[in-house]
Amino acid sequence: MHWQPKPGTTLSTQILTEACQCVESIGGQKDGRWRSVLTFYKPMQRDALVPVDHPRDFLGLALQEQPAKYYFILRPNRIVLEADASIQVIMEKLQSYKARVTLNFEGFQYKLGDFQVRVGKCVPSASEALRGIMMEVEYIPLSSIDKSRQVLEEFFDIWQETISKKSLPGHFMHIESNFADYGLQDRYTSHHTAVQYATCMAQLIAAGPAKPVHPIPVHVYSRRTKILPSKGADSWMAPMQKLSTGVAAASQSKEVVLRISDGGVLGEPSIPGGSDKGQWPTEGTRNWPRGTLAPTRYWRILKQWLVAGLSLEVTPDRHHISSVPCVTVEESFGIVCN
Amino acid sequence: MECVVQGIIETQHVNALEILLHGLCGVPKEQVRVHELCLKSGPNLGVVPSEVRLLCDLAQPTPSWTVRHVGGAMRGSGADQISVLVRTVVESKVSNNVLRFFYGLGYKLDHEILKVGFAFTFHRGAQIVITVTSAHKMPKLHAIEEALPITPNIHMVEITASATAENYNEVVAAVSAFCEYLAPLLHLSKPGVSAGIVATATAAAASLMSNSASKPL
Repeated sequence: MHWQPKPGTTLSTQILTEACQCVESIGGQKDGRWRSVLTFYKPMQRDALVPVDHPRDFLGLALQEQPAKYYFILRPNRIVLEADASIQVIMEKLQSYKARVTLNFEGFQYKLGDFQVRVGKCVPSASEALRGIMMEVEYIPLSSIDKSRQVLEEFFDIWQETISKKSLPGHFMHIESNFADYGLQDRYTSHHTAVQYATCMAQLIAAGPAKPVHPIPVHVYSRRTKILPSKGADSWMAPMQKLSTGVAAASQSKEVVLRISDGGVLGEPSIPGGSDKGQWPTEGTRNWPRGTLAPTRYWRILKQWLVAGLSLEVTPDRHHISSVPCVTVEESFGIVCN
Repeated sequence: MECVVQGIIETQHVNALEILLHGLCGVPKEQVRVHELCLKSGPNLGVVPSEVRLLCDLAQPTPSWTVRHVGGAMRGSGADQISVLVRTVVESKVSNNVLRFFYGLGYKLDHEILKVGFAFTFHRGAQIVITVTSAHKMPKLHAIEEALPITPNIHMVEITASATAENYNEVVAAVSAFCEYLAPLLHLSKPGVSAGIVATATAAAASLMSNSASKPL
């Protein structure tokens, strides 16, 4: 289950604290810490101009209860692969996909009668930004999904009633995963857990990140690199695969610098959208506004550039540390590629 | 990492080799029946083209799958002076949908073979595995039941031993020492540096076979 905030509200660790208190209020006893690590793997392309037939990304998952194992989830193909943990080394050596964004699920594990409950937050490994709140409920005596459905639904009802008393701005939501699509049987395994993480991630991504409440300083530079062909509005995510350099470092930065490729190959493509069209950045981008942009305008412009098929690189500006909050590109867009 | 040497032996002498190995190793042989699929990255995928091997162990009642990545060999003057190749190898046991997974990632099947034979695993200065196999090709995709030997008269012999950066010298010494016991029957060398068949093999094999006839295993 994941926490679905009410529209217009933001996530906070207070919600997690309240949720933990709720588990304890219905008899949950702390049974250690809980930690899972989910990684987005993205392809490494030799030539951005050549069309590709590989996925934009896939997920890797390390579960605390299976320390020697690692799971890959390839959602478009409905595949969940179980492997020894050493598969991560193999992926690294192949240099075909790179671990781009890592999300940690951290929290507490509770014993609650025959149930095991885990509540925790979802945070990127390279920052403290709260991306979501997750909850896992397991009914220990049964491993049949069908047979345990009713008892879990009853638990869920009690849980919703308990948490609703806190008047929190949102609710926990359970999205049913279609295990059969992945060829999984009724007997619950860690493969099922991996699929649930993938489903939950899709929901967190769809819900989107918390929007910054302060302006973000944006510095725009131009740089001669390859330009992706114009993709059109329907596939504007594709160029996101170029969002690579310095992503991990960027999330630790107070500020994000966008280096925009132009290269002049496409001439001056028309940028979809109206009022924010602005002047197309030319070499040196001297005529592109530098300085602080309002967040909404910032993201709108960025998206428009992506629609136009530009490749982007993100690097932190180490020389200009600002005190304003930062929303990094991988938080707001990189994961959206899923 | 692993230390590895390879060689070839005429099929007619494989029985003699088995007798010799049985005597040297003192352990029962294991059947080898491995379907090996070599996948290569599709066009434009990866910083450099990459290759991965999927091994399906068919000798077990339930086939099990392993992903194997063979890295570059150790280089330098030190490496040149030893007769054993030292290279990085990473393996991972995986679920049986691994082929579909790698296809999904954009990898393509380059070739597949079926290796049939036997192996001995024993400890002699290091944990050593010696496999004697015949490579089979498949007339149709994945048709392992119809597989035919590629070189009916030749078997491949491979000795591997896992090692670390700290102990590979000792492991190399152990592998080299073991190779000497096999010298009358076959010559083992670094992969890719074929030493061919050994001239003394026929005589050595005949001697082994006559000895074994009087001393049943």
